[in-house]
Amino acid sequence: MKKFLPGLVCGFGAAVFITVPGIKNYGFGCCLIIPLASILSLFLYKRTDNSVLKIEAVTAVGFGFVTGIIAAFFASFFDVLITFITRSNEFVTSLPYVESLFKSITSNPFIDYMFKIYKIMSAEITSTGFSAGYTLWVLAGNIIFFSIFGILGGLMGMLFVNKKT
Amino acid sequence: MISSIEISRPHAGHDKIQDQIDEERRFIFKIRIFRASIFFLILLWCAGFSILSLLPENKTLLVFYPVLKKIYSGVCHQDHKKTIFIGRYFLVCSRCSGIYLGALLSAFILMFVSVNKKTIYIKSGIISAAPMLCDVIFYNAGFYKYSIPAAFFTGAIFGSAVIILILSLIENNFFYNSKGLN
Repeated sequence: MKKFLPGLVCGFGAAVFITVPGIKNYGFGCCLIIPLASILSLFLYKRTDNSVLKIEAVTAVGFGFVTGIIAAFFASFFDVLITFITRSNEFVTSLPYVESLFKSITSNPFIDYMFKIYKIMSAEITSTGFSAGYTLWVLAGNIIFFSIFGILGGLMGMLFVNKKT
Repeated sequence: MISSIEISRPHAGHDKIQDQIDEERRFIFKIRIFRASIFFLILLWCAGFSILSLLPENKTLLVFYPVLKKIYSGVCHQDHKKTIFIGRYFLVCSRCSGIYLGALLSAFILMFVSVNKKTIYIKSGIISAAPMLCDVIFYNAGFYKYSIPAAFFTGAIFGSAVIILILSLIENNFFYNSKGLN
């Protein structure tokens, strides 16, 4: 468990950078936050490990994956927390825009079904501040994509750390 | 007995060479499949953020707008002022679009490039990031206004170099190493 402490720290940091509004608006590689966190976690691991051996690809992938997963959990948690406090989010505010686009279309069962789900989620968020469907959807999306970005970052980190070693 | 050995030796050698050729072919096929898979994954990712712009008339796709927008919000700020507009806004900013489309182009070219063990040049990765970093620094310092083409092309340079670096890393560590060619 102690081995993955750098992943935990960097994953948490990445989640903060992703969630806090304004930080990622500087226009520099908002998509690079997770890979950079993975690289940093490998550097920290190497610092604490004191080993002279090079980091293996499997270890680097593992670190990247853990960093990505931790970032996904915390980013989802912060998102849900902010939604709970404000009782609104981007999804709720963008729904009327999408709905207005659909007014002119002849509806089909699929579109109707999707809108029914969206409206239920939106209503839950505005009334109670929490929607289980929204939480699951955000969590699943974050876990899939952040873990991939984390693994890529881990591989890049291995390259830099081993070069230094 | 001697003659039988003399006769069988060329056949045994030929079989061994043939086996090596077959093994090499299988290995190259594995690498090609891997590169094609990576290309299709990046294509899928790029389609996700651009399909609503490229097919604005498709209303069934439009129903996924909130889902896609939320997914890509984790990896991009999605500021409309910094986003490419083709029919509709892309779901990621122009710099991110450049990174992903550059990676897609590189991955496509790499599918047809001969398979060799590659030497990884970290410097090339750092150099490719330099134009993007300069653009970010100069823009944030107020030297010039945000330019969508500049952000897109500097991002594309970085993306195309980074995917080569990543593919090299994966192939060298998981394909060549398992084959004993380290």
